[in-house]
Amino acid sequence: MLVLTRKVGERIAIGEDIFVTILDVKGRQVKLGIQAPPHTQVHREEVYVRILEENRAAAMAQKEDLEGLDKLILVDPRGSGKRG
Amino acid sequence: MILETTRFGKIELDDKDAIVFPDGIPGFPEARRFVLLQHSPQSPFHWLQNLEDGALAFLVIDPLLVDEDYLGSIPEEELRELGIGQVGEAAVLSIVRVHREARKVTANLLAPLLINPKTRRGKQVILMGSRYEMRHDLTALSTDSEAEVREKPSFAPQG
Repeated sequence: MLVLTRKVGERIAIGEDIFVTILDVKGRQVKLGIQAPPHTQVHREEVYVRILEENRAAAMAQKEDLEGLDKLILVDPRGSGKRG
Repeated sequence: MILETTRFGKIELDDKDAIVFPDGIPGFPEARRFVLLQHSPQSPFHWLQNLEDGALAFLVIDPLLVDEDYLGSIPEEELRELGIGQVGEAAVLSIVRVHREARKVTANLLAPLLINPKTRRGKQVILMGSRYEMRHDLTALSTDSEAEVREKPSFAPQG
């Protein structure tokens, strides 16, 4: 892993179009500004990893899982007044 | 094209019905193209079937059925990135997880799939700082007061 020391206000360039700016340091917290092209996904790692794991767990769903549950949650469209 | 799937057998689809996630979906970076299949005519659930892998499908639900103000939480820059001019033009889907042991289903309202219906492109976005949860319990709604939920018009499928 590359380790760099930076001061507040200084930046790090990653490739040609990603810049990370150290905005503020307070005790154990660092505030970063990240400039990246629109297609680059930037997330707090722990949130991103939780979403990724949730997606993987969700992908296990099978048709049979909905038996019974389907009935619990939905409204029969013929019984509701809204559809028309 | 004909797609061989594990859940639905062989299905015939039109290539132009594909919804493309250019960056994939977190956890499935190779999964780019999907089609939306209805679970059953009366069901609020759909399946987002992947075209690259017949075994991969996500169970999804329209989050507006859970909260009709949901679109208000989508950040403008996410809309802009997908070329969606106004939030009302966006399509959103929430991935549903089935917790078999606990016999419950939850919807990921924290990270919806945002889709531009015109370009048929989408991405999973994270609504940081919103009040929405990654595991919004859908079953709690019904077991508390099934009768009441059944009469709620907002739960009717949208056409």
